[in-house]
Amino acid sequence: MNNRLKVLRAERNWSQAELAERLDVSRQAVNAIETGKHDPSLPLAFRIARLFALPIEEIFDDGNG
Amino acid sequence: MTETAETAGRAKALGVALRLGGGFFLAIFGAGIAAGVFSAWQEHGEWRSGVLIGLALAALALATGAWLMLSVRGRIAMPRSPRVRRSRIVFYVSMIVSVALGLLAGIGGQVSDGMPDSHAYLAPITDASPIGRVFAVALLIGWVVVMAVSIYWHMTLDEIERAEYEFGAVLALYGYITITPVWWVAWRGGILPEPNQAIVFVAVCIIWCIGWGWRRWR
Repeated sequence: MNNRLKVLRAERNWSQAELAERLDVSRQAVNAIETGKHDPSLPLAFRIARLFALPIEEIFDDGNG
Repeated sequence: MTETAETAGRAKALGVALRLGGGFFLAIFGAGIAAGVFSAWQEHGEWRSGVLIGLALAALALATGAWLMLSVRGRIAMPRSPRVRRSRIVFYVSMIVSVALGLLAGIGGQVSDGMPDSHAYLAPITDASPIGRVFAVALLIGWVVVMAVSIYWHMTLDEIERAEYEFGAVLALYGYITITPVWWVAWRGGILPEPNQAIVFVAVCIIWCIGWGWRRWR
């Protein structure tokens, strides 16, 4: 699944570690999501969406939209 | 970035590298001294002033190494959420208890065997000779503590890290249900020696680590 996490993070000038701290996950977890190695669970996807104040579908794209 | 800032950044990185490198060197040096002193102590079978001096030197090297490594902690620390911080602390506690247990098993095994040869440190893994009941109970209690800490640590992980370990665990389970019957059948067929559960245990742990590592760094 594609996502805009890296772009959104860069827009706010946050490091992976800073984003990870805000999401209550490890920096490695943020890296895994940004590089598409791991698709987050629904609860984590909601946390990400709330943090960036965006709908989930504006952050994640399953390619079928 | 200005030239002054770049130079300061490089100097800081060099300082961190030197302290970390020095810390690792001293820690290994201290552990080496301790191992040598214990070995010599077993060989001679009595306390000598050299043992005390050696142990003091080892403790000094280990303490200096630990101080050097801890001194750079503030410079390389990244922001971490409370849950991630707790997870890391529990992990380090688990590591310390495991290392202590390993040292106890290694030293205790050598002492109970009474054979201070260079291969005696392997005895706790592959040797099936009897050990003292008190020693066995101490090891069992230690193992239960390590498992309890590990389970708690597993619960503190975020979903991505947990998925990495669980992938490794599934791979290890497949390894176990492959190695065990294959070795057993091969032994009955006269192809391999009798199955050794300790070797199977180590192999399963290695497969777990490989699975976890592949999932993490693929």
